[in-house]
Amino acid sequence: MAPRFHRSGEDDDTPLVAELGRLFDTVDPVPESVRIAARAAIEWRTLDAELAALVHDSTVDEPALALRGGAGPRALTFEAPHLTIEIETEPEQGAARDTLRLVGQIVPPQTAQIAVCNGEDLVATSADERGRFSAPGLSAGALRLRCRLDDERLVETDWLTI
Amino acid sequence: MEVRDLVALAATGDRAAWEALVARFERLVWSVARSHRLSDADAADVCQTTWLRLLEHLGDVRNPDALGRWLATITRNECLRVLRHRTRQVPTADEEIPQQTVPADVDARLLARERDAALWKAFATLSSRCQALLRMIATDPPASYEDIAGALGMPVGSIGPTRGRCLATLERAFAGARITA
Repeated sequence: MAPRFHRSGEDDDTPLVAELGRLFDTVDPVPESVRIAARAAIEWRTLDAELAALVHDSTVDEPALALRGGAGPRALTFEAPHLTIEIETEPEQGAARDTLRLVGQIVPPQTAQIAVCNGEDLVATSADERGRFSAPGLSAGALRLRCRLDDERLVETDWLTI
Repeated sequence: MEVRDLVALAATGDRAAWEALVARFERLVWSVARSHRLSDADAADVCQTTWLRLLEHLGDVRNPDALGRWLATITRNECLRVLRHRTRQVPTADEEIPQQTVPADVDARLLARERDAALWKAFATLSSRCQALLRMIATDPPASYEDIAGALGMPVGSIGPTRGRCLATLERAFAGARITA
C-alpha cells in the first residue's frame, strides 16, 4: 500500500528522472520576468498606492445608452495623477454561470502588473506595451484594480460594484 | 530556514523571507501551470495569481508542511479557470493561440547533446497525463505525492503506480529514440 505522505525524492534515485529534471530546467525554466514579479509581489503590501478615482461610469453618466437595447458594455474611467485606467465590463457569452469579462487600457500606454480584486477572489494579469489587459470570468460584485507600474509605483482604483 | 519560519517572517513584510519562500516553491508552481498546457502569458498570470493569493493568506497558513500542496492546488484551480474561459470564447485575431508547451522540436542550441534531444523527443510521445506527472516528479526540489495529487487532481494512491507506468513507457521510448537518432 502506498505511503500516505510519500516524498517522491526518496525513491527517485532514478537517473532518468534526474535527467528529465535537468532538461526541463534547460528548455522550460521559470522565466526571469515571472521570477522577478513573484519576488516583487510583497511590495503590493508594503508600498503606498496612489488612488485612481472613478471619474466616469456609463451607467450613471449615460443612462440613455443603457435603456436603448440594453446589452452594451459598461464603460468606466479611473483617474490618477499621472495616468488613466479605462475599463469596459460586459456579460460573457455562453457562460454557464453569470460571469463578466473585463477589458482595460492604461493611458498613457505602458506595461504593468495588474491584480484584479473581485469579491474574495484575486486574479493577476498584465498590461501589454500598449497598456491593454483583460480578465475573464469575473463575478458580479465588488471590483477593484491594483496596478504595479514599471517604475514600481502602485496605483489602485476605487472599489465599485460590477 | 524552515518553511514555517519563513511564512511567519514574510507575514510581517520581511522581503528576504518572502523571496526565500518564492525561491523554494517557484519551480513547483511554474511546472503545475505548464503541465496544464497554458501559453507563456497565461502561465505567467496564473503563477502571479498564486503568489498574490499566498501573500494575502500568509497569516492564515495553519500547516506550513502542506504549503506545497496548497500552492499546487491553487495553481491548478486557476489553470482550470483560465482553460474554461478560453474554450467558451471565440478568440479574436490578436489573441494568442496557446502554444504546445512540450514541443517535439526543440531549439538545437538548447539541447546540444544528442542524448538530451532524444530524451526530449521520447518525452513528447507520452500521454498528456504522463507528461504532466513526470514533470511534477522531476521538478527540483521533489514534490510529495500529496503535492502532485493536488496539482493534477489525481488520487494520492494512484500517483505511485502511474509514475511507474509512465517511467516504463518513457524508458522504452527513449531506447527507441536513441537507436533512431
